[in-house]
Amino acid sequence: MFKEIQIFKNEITYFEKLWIKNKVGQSPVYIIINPELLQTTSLSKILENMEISLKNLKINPLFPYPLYLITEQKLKSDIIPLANSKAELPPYFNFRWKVPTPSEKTIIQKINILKNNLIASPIDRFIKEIKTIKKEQKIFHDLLREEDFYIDIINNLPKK
Amino acid sequence: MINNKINSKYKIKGLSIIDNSKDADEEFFSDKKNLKNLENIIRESLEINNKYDIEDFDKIKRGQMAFFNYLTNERVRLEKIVQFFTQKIKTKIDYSNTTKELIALKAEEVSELKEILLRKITTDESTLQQNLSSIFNKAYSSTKKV
Repeated sequence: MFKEIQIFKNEITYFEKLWIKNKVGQSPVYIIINPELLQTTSLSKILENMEISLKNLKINPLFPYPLYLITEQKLKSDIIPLANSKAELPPYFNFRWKVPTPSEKTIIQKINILKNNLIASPIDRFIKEIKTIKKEQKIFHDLLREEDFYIDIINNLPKK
Repeated sequence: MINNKINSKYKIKGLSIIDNSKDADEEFFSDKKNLKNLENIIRESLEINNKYDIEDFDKIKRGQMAFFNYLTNERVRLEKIVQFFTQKIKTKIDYSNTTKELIALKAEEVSELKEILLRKITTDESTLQQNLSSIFNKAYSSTKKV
């Protein structure tokens, strides 16, 4: 159920209107940039403006549904996930929507509640906390490995 | 002509298009055989195949359940993400086992252990010193055979 978005301009307000219109974050979306735009502006500048517009609207490009940017150029971005082609998009979301039965409608209602719960929670703050926790865990793990190493040597020394 | 052929095949009692009375309709539709025959007439006239192949039937069933299956998987996925962000991360932040104080304590313990080890290893009688001295003596001994 991926939606396609084509980009023709490189303005923050234009991006913000696009995200609101296409309900980015509430359904899986992939972006294709018009090749004429790429001739005039660089991809890195377009990415910057996209990230700023997402921050302004407080939309997370990963949760609850992802936003992919399809380019063949090799770029690194911490915020928006990239893909080289449509074939690299996750197949989990490639699904044809059909008219739901009553039992399926109840599940869809539950999914909408969970979705709104996620959108309302401060995910960006939690992701920052996860990064600090990860660093502290790594330092602690290294200290424990060093301690184990010294204890092994002391235990294996010959006793007089 | 076609209708006559079909009607002769399926004998339906009491079927009359002109008679619009409710009693006649009730009598007609209460008889199950009449209904079945009517259904067969409609299917033959519209050339609808009543029988599916086993493969087609399986495909249809799988297609019906695939969407339901996807929705249940999606619900489970979102529940896990919500639980992760609202419960697990919060408890980890509030009651973490890797605060700065704990890391500093551990670093102190590790440095003390290192000092104990070094004291044991750097004495003249330790095995490390003996092994190093034997290697050194072999490399720089004056009694070499020519």
